[in-house]
Amino acid sequence: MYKYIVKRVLMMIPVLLGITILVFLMLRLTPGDPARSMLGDTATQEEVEALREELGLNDNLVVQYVRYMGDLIFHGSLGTSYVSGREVMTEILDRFPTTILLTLCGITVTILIGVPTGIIAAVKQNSWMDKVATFIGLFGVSMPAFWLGLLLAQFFSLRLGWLPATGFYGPKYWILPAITVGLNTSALVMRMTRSTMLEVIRQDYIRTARAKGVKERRVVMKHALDNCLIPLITVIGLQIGSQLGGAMVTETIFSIPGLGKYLVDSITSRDYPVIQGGVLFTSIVFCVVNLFVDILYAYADPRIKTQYVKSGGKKRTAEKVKEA
Amino acid sequence: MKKRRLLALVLALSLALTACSGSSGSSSSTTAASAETTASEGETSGTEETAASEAATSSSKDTLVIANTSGEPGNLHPYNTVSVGAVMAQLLVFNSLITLDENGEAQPSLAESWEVTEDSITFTLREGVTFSNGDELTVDDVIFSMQEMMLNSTGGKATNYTACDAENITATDDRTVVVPLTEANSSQLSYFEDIFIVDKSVYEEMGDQYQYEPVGTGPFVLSEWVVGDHMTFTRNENYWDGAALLETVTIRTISEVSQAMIEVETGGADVMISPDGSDVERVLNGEIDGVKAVTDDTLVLRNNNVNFNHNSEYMSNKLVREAIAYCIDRESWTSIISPGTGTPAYCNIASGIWGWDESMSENYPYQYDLEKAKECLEEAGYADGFTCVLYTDNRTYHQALAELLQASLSEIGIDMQIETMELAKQKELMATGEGYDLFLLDNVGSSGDPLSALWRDSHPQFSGEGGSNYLWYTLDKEGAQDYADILDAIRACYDDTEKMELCLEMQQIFTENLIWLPINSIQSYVLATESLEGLSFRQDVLKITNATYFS
Repeated sequence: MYKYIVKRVLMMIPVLLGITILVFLMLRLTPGDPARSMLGDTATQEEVEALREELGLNDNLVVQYVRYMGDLIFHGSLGTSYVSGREVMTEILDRFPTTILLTLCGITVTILIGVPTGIIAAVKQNSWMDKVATFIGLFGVSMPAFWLGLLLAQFFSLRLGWLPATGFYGPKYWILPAITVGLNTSALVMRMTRSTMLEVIRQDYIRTARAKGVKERRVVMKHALDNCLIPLITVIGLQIGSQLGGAMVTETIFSIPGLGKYLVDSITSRDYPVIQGGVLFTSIVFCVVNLFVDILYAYADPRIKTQYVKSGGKKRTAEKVKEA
Repeated sequence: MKKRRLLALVLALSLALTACSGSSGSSSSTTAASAETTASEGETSGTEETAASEAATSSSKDTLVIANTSGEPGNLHPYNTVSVGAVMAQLLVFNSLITLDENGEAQPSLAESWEVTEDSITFTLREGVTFSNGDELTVDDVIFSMQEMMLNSTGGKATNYTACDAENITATDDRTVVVPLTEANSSQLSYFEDIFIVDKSVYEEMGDQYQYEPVGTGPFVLSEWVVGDHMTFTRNENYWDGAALLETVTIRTISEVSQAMIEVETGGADVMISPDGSDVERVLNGEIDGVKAVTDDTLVLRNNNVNFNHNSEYMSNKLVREAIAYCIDRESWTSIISPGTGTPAYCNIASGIWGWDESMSENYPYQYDLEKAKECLEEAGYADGFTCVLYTDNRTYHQALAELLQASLSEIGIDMQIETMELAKQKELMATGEGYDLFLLDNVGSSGDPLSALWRDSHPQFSGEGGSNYLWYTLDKEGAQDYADILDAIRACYDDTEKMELCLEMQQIFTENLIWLPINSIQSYVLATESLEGLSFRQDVLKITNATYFS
């Protein structure tokens, strides 16, 4: 098992290296001069040139990349923000707890809505409850976060005056962003729960359980749901990974000082160190969460654990299960 | 049957949601329209501030929350930052030697009086002023601040002081500072409003940290900065003009304008800057209870323009420029481009700026006339039209203007392609002078000085390679020498009457040569709760003073 984990961690290195190169090149090849953005509309061309020189933006791309990686590897530094002059690493770490909190709130909403509706839709297939759950699913998937967020704020903040429209200062403030982030994902979870449950409840062991006289509630919640966990963990895990990178739209709408908003702001101002650092950090988080999800499979299904141990990680059996 | 029920359910839910999201104004009772101007109660000068403080001795609420929709500043460096969000915060912490009132006239602040000659400007400092840390303001602090701005600032700010001999600024006694001038510049005094006075010893001691924890002589002190979220300022009890009526000012960064509006409507914020034009219109129509729109006649400082690249094959031809000018229907376009906040523009400066020519709207030679446009185009040799490119950024009012222009030009056979991009990219591409024929870019100035909007943004001396404007209206172009000469003359003129005549003449030259086409002016507003009083502005930036209070 440990071998498997070490191997996965080592595999992350080329992935992250590839990401740094890709982001670095994309930024440099996109028009828009960070020096001009920093100095503003009224700056003279000489000032812009001097700042470009100071920031090393006139060096060739290879030199710039090697310098960036050198700072990162030998000094653990992601550089300083062009806009604020603060350390990018510090800024990211300051914002990360907010993003984690938002993710947790969002995932709670996802699970609370997605799993029960998925189960009901499967157990009561083709009934009105199934139709309602399908509608909620379609509604959630089709609703873009920016629209849903604004609509929720209009209704709950402006119309009813129950919840604040912006900020992230306490439980009252978490509700609307959590629904905005969570509803979209809950639709995916609902669809996944429904289809897997439908498949599972037709299995022989479920028929056997029912024949033995086990109560329907226990059949569904224990025998069927336990066997639906792998695909659910996959979907939820992936969503946690992407949300930890910052729910950019939600954070911007609700003015939440998280990683996503930080990245969006830095893109507008061409703040290269922040964009590079933010994307790299997000990628690491995503990889780690994926690894964590894979390890969770082992606990959800002991057969997978045995395979991890046997193969020493040679085969990613979990992926096969996912495909199945 | 089941399908029908489902469909009915979907429709009912959609309708319910749409109904719920409607504005509260539709069902609530409306009050009379409330557009408040600061003219009657504007507090920009020190003496006026004191008067207002005397009028109101306390505030019914201690904390003011500002919704800042213009983005959080990276830092509050007094000489290097350029964002509106930074200036609004800096105005709480710092003072300058002078402030400009709503008419652009200099009023005392840290300087009690001043004397302007063609050779120098002499400031006499106010006595007994201390910084928020208790240090006394000295001439050394003032000279140091001036030199930092003139010699070490970034963002092109130093170019506003090229007429000053920064190295030789001296103090003749412990209250008098003399700034020698190397050339005549009648507007020079007004730029001293931009020089925030810092505590020299603390500034040098703190280094880079000063930009995050500034120390000034202003009415408030920065006490907390939660990056990405808010800045909190507390009252400076030792403020030289009397402690502020408000105890705390919080600036919250809310990027989404509609969300900021909800905060103002629900009392989560007391004032928001840069509101949406449609929201201003709703407030002006009395559709929103408890919220007022605050502005001033002189807060019309921004013009929305269609600019020409005078290097372009087509736009270098004056007849083509005339044809395009005849295609502009300002009156009806303005209500689409800037609803609630716009007025048609005919001059190269907005109506809130000194030197604006009111008669131009009646005498403007290129009123909307497509037939004349076609004739001009035919005369220019483009009877069948041509294809041209317009660069613009993605601001809503620019997008609206671009589309209106595109539709209008298609009527006379010009196929205008719109290329939308970020402003930074637009400027980078325009610096080459190639690939575009037209572009959208505003010009903004300060109320007292027409050159603040025109000098660097249109002077032929700053056009061309490495220049600061993208018109490519270089001195070899028709009328450019005349235009440059008259801008120079305005700069060197110290007599207001004579200067006004020069301004009117300058606008004639501008219009004759169709250097660019002003389309509409935009008035700045802030939206505030009814009870908030004593708001003022520095140019178009909201300024909270010691006299701001809740009634």
